[in-house]
Amino acid sequence: MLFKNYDPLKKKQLSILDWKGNIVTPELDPKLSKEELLKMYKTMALGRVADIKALQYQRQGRMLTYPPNRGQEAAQVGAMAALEKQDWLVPAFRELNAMLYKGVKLEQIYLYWFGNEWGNHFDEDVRVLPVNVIIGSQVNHAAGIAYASKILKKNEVAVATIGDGGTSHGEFYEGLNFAAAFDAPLVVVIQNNQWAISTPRSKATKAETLAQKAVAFGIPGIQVDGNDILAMYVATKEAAEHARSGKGPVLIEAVTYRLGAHTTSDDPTIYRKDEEVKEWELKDPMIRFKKYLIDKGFWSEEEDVKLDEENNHYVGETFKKVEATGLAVLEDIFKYTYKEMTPQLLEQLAEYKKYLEEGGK
Amino acid sequence: MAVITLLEAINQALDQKMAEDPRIVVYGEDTGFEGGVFRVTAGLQKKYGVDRVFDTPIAEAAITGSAIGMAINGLIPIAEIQFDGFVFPGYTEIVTHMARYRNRSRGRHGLPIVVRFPVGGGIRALEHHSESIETLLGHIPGLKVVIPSTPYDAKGLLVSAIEDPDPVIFMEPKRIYRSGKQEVPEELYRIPIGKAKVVKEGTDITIVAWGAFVREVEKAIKLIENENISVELIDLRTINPIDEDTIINSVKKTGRFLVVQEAVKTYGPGAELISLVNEKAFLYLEAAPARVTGFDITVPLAKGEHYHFISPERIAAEIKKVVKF
Amino acid sequence: MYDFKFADIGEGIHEGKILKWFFKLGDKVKEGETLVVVETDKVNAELPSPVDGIITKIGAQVGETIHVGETVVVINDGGDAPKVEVKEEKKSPISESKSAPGVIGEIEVSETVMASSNENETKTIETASKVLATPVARQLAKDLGVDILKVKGSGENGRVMKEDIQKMASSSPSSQTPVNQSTPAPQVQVQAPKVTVTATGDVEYVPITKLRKAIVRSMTLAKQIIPHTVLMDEVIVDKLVVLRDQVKTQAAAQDIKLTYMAFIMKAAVLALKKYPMFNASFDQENDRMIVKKYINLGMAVDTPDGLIVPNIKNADQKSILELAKEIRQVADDTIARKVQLSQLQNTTFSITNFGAADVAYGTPIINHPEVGILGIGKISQKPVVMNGEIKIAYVLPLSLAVDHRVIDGADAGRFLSTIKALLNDPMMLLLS
Repeated sequence: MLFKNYDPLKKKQLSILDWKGNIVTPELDPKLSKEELLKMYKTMALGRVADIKALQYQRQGRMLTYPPNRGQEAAQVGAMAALEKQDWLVPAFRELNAMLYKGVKLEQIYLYWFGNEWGNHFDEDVRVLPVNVIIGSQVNHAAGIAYASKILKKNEVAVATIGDGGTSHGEFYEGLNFAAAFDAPLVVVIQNNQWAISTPRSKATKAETLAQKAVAFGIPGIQVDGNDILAMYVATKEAAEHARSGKGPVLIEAVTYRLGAHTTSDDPTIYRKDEEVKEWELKDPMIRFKKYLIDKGFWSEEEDVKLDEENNHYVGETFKKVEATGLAVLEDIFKYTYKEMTPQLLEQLAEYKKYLEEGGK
Repeated sequence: MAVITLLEAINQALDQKMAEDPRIVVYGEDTGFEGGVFRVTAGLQKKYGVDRVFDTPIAEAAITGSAIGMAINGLIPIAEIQFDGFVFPGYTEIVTHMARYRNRSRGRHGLPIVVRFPVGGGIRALEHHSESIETLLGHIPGLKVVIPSTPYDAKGLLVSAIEDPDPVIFMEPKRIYRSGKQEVPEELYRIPIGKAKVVKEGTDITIVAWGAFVREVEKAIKLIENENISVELIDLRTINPIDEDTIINSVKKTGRFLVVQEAVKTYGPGAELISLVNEKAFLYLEAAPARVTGFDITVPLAKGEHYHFISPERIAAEIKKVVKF
Repeated sequence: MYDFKFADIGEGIHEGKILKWFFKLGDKVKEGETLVVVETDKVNAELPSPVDGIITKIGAQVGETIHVGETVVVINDGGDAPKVEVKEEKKSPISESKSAPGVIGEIEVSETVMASSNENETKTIETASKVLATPVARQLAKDLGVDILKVKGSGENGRVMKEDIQKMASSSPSSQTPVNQSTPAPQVQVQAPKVTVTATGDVEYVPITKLRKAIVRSMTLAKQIIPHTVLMDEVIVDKLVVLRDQVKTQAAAQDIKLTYMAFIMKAAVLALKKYPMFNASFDQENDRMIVKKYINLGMAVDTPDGLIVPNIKNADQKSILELAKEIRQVADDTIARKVQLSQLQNTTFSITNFGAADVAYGTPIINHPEVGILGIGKISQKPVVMNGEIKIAYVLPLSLAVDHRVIDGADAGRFLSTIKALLNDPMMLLLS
């Protein structure tokens, strides 16, 4: 029903909690419990602090290139909150909050951006794949996960996230088409944050919405106010059920905004206007969600201040821990190329070690 | 014991492994219902069902990319690319993900995938149906690359490839799919990956070849049988990781080295093998190591292919040249 | 104390100008609060505080320029440890020079100007003139003692083939380079002037062997460099003769041929220990003697092809019987041309036996870089005067040649006397 009522070709966008913090579509309010809502909010709050501090650390020369998430918290967390524990997240690279919600530790996320592959070694029961830098390929990976889930009857849904820029890529098309051909339980959530580095959404494709690309695959597509956490929740919930029940993939377009730069080495003031950023700052997902929670009596300003302090402390401690790990272990860069090192790898490692032992640099 | 072709040996390996391990799926373009354009996978869909043996849309990136997701989520995917020339659209996923996933995740996700496709020319085919891309795959850390030259080896190598915890590229020399039969045991057996085979022992010159060209070198050896040259012929079998010990021990014995490769000369596998020989057997060399290869050209269409596809005569001439150095 | 330095923030910045401070000296600041705004080429960067604490030093004032790596501010954060240094050496080169935008990673930016391209200057690489030969052929040449540079190559482009090397090796009967010197090529001219013979009758040209060539070299060198002085004397060896007679049967039972040479070697060893300068080499370049603490006694061996001088290693550590055994072994090996190169190297003092040629005295030539050589004549019965009476005694003639640059006559005399005393009364020989 939801998909029928919110046909992107008819210019419909799903909105439940507007930018002022008011419920505008009460019949679709998911009426989540305080516990569920606070879990979502706290994840977003932690994510935001982690994001801001990561930038600071980078400016201090202590962190490497980092892609900020600020502004996209609801688009990420709203989607994840609608999933079951066994469902998979197959991310692109700007998914800090989604990864946190799905059980990846902040320490691991920081460790990865700090420059150590161990940051990709999540716990065994965490259904999240590592950050994916090859744009679009994650959709094919998710399609494979979904296909396996289907024929092994595992009741899992694979959710791939992708940016607006990524939807131009061939693998976006191939992956969705493949999954759709087999009715594999795949959901693709487009984080349309309006910018692909310096290329605006309008230049990426002639299609008016990204959600309408679903038509090409024969699947439902829906455009959602990405900064509306409740709308994200509802859309993803519906999409996951649809996929899980064997009806095939769904395409969700979360309309949000990248308040920060593409990465810490990017200067967005070159290619976009301050007014635009200011406009979107008003639509910040955290502002409206906080208002909603306070209105419902689930939260307070005092608790918010306290949470912020706790998060700052936690993030600071976490980063210090990561920073202290220093350089990678020499053997590690060889050891995981194959399950067992080949004779060639063993020989090369031994030679290099010998060189170092003899004082080589 | 059954006497079967290389193609049938591959089919048998797939069949027997699929019967044993329900996680194995086999798929690709026209792989399912028809059993592949060469009929390598014939009969499998009937036996194991449409979930495990299936046809995909024409989308090589999806074929190779989905294998990654399938392997992560509990399947053992054997992905087929219809022809060597079509590997390229699926190459991105092989190189940027399949080969590196174990390293990227520090061992959390190893990918037990097999990517198989027919390779090589000499069949007067269309463009892009006669490629030799050993270098493009052998050069990638994290991949293993194998290529059988006989039905017996095909079954044994494929079983090893399927059972390997790392991604293996299984190249099938299409020219010899059906051109000869050999005794192949009924039961499952393995030929280890990374182990070359001394096909024929000799003392004057070491020749390394693989795939369809092992047979061509044997023809060449027959041509010079009265010239009193004792050839040691090695079937490389695994392009990567190379079996250095077998090759080096042989060169230390013979002092002469020749590679016969169908692939383009420059930056081809011969360059790597000769470098190894120079590194580890230099002082034993009686002659400069040599290679007979494809030209640095695009594989010609049918009317020009005969210039390019190395004849046994050309191989024989090169053997004599090296021996007389 | 936290010394917060201006870091490369990856936007093409290597310096900035302080625009505005939000805090002053003594202020309390919290981690994350913006300390200062720095104006750069690209953006105005706000720098957040890395720690909580009190500002104790301002690195640059408003309007001043600050460079990457310089202190922005020092904050007393209560800790005495310096800031956690990121253990990345790789970072410094990039932060010292500029960094350029690129979205990912850090690329170096530098003002260094490299040398202009010399694209159009033609440079021909000259082909080196080298011996063309396979690794196996080169090794063969080494093994056979053939100088590959001297081999005429019969292969293409003058390539030296294995057959060429083998041919060269078999034309000289020696298969071992008879080097009895361990010094590198001498700095002395060993080429004699050209010789032409105006034949007045038949002439046969007999090519000399490699061994002979080596002997030519070493003899010429020794005579050119070393001022030889020869001292000669004879010693009565009756007691030695008796002793040897007594013991030789027992020695034979142990399969040892007990020759006089074994006793003489022992005497020489004892004398060398007493006068270590005889067991040395003269390093003229460095104005010093190289005194060896080991004694490798050379013994001249007459082989069918010519004179070869192998040595008995560490002769001082061997008994007379052991010496006798080894003398026989080494001599046999040498004559059979089976002796290893190492047996010929590092001799410290030599002994040569004229007696074998039935000769009493001689003027032996020293093996450079040794400084002495002892010549042994044939033992014969002679009339001698003992206690005023003429007696028949066994007499052994000795000829000692020394390098008179470093050994004076008196020393030589004393050395010879020591040997004489030991051979005259062999009991001392056995007891020492």
